[in-house]
Amino acid sequence: MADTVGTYLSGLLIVACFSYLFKENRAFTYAEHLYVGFAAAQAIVLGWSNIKEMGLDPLRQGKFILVIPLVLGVLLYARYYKPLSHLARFPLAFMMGAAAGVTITGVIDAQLVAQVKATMLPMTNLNNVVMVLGTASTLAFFLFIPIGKKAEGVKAANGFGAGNLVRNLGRATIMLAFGSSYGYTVMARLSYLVARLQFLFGRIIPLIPD
Amino acid sequence: MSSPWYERLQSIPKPAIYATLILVFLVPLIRPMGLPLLMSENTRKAYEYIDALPEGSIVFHSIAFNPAVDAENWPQMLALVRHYMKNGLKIIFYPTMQEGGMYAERIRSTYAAEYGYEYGEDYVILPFKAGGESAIAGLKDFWSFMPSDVDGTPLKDLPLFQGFTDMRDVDVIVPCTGSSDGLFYVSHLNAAYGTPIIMAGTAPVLPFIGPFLASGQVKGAIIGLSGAAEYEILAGVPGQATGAMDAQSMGHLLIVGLVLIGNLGFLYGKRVNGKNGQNGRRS
Amino acid sequence: MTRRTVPLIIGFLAGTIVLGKYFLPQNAFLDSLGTDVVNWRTIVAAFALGLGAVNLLGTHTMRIARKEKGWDASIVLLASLVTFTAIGLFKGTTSPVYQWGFNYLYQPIYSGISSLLAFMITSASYRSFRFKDWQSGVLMLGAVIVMLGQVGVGQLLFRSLPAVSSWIMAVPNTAGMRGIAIGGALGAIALSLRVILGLERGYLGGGQ
Repeated sequence: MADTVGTYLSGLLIVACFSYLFKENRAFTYAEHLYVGFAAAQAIVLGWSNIKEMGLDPLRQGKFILVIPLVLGVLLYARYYKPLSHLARFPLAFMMGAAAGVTITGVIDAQLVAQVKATMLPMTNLNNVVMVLGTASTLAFFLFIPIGKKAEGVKAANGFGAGNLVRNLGRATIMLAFGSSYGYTVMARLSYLVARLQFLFGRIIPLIPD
Repeated sequence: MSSPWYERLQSIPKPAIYATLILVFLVPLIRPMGLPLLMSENTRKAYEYIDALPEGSIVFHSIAFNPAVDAENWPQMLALVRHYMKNGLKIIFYPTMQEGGMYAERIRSTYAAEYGYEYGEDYVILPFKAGGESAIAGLKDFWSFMPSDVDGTPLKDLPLFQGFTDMRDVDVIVPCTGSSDGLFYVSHLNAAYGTPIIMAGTAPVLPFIGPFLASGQVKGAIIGLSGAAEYEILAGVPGQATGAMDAQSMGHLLIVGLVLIGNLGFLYGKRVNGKNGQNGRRS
Repeated sequence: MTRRTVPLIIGFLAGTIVLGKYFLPQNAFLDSLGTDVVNWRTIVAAFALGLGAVNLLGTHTMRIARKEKGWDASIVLLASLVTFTAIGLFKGTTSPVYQWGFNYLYQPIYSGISSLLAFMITSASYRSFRFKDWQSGVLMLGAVIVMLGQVGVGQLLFRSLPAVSSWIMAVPNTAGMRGIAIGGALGAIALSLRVILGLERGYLGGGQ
């Protein structure tokens, strides 16, 4: 019974979302606010369960060092009390510092060394040539080739020199990569709608065969 | 005076486009056209890798998606999980997005029974952890980071974790993701322990993981709704992705058709009006 | 001192300890401290999850109190926030009632709103993809080949399209994205070092 009611309610809510295509209206606004409220509730509930499981429970068992992260966490809320709002910077700095450390340890091996290594291919076939030149020119385009106004000066100085060749090769590779990324993004966005139509015209109005 | 045809080609009204899109989807959904389904190399590699795992192997299935993208990720996850269960693999679910746990609960409440899977023995759901990349890096010190399951039961009391030392005991990690977050597993766990990674991602994820597939850091990938449909067929498990592929095909055709129509008008207008050809921003 | 220097010292210590654990894994003290810092970050990040809710509570309570435009929708938001927080905290997120809320309220709205993107992207593709110069031509060509090459209808139109699309993804796309990945890695390392060394302070906000 609860599931049947829920299914029809879901259908109504999806239609309320679609109604936004015509114009913003009450049904859409209510649905949107209901969703934001749930999302915030979810954040509180899951945040609390993390705090309890990783902080409070072990603290009760005698792991007093956990007072440090718990106090830092509470200090995040100092931002709402002006005289102490600067204290909210402590946990923020802690999170940023730790995240920076985690990021460096993550990217060195997997993203930098392994990827540079994987690009060192023998130039014995077209694919390898495209891979090596494409990677190198993209990297050069981002790191070494001036763009915008600066580029015009360089262009004038170099004419059709090696700089321009690398710039254009890098640009072509990036454009092809971005174009294909766009194609995949389209694919994703369309499937969101297909899934909702499958639900509406499969479960609510049974027109789609199983 | 009405505008010339090449300008009208560039200014089809939005409502007409929206209505056509719905129609283009609905017709093949209601009356399937039986268009051919392609089989990508990435999906085949993913399937073959998982299919070759011996019974009892441990799959670490990370759930890093939310309802915004579950149209792609949920059919992928369902096809994968049914394949794990069909082959008797042990599953550890780990949500790294707030909503992830709810999808694991769906497996517990509905799908685990299909294959007689017992909670605690055949599969376990870990709790969501905040922190993004840190919540994945933290897995390297597994027991201090993850003392209990989603119900609060200590992991050491669950049969699946008897003899489990750390993430090195995991045979494959499968991040099911709507973003490139899955790459954090490559950065922290594949890099540290060499644990194989199979990625299940939404379509826009593929371009980002391409370099990691080519380098062998990611062994295979199930991408988008088409990847889910391919996996359903390869694994021989039921699912809703296959039925959606005709509609997906027609949607792509519509967009390409619209781009071509717009450009026809634009290029002809440019020829007639010189450089100031209508750029199609009017609607 | 406490306003700027102490946060910078905290950030430096947190980052250095995590790096120390990575570069000196044989040092048991650093290893254990590094593990603690990563775990503590999860605890602090968990506290941060509630910040959005506090902001929402403040904004929407004021909106209702002042009967500002849209105050009725604010009631819906607060009711949803309070109800599901209570259910989640007292009955748990695995309880049937919380899952009902997720499956039949939250999931359909969230996925419904995101499915509007299908309409937007169709209209945007039609309006903005124009063959203006060789670069936009390459961009468009890549998009069109991939769009058609990934689905069955593309194969019916041109038999070799899926193979061309796969080649684009496997070779030029991989080359471009690899360049971006390596550049991104260098950038991430540089930015992270700036944060640890206290040269990057934007996240601390203005003031002393």
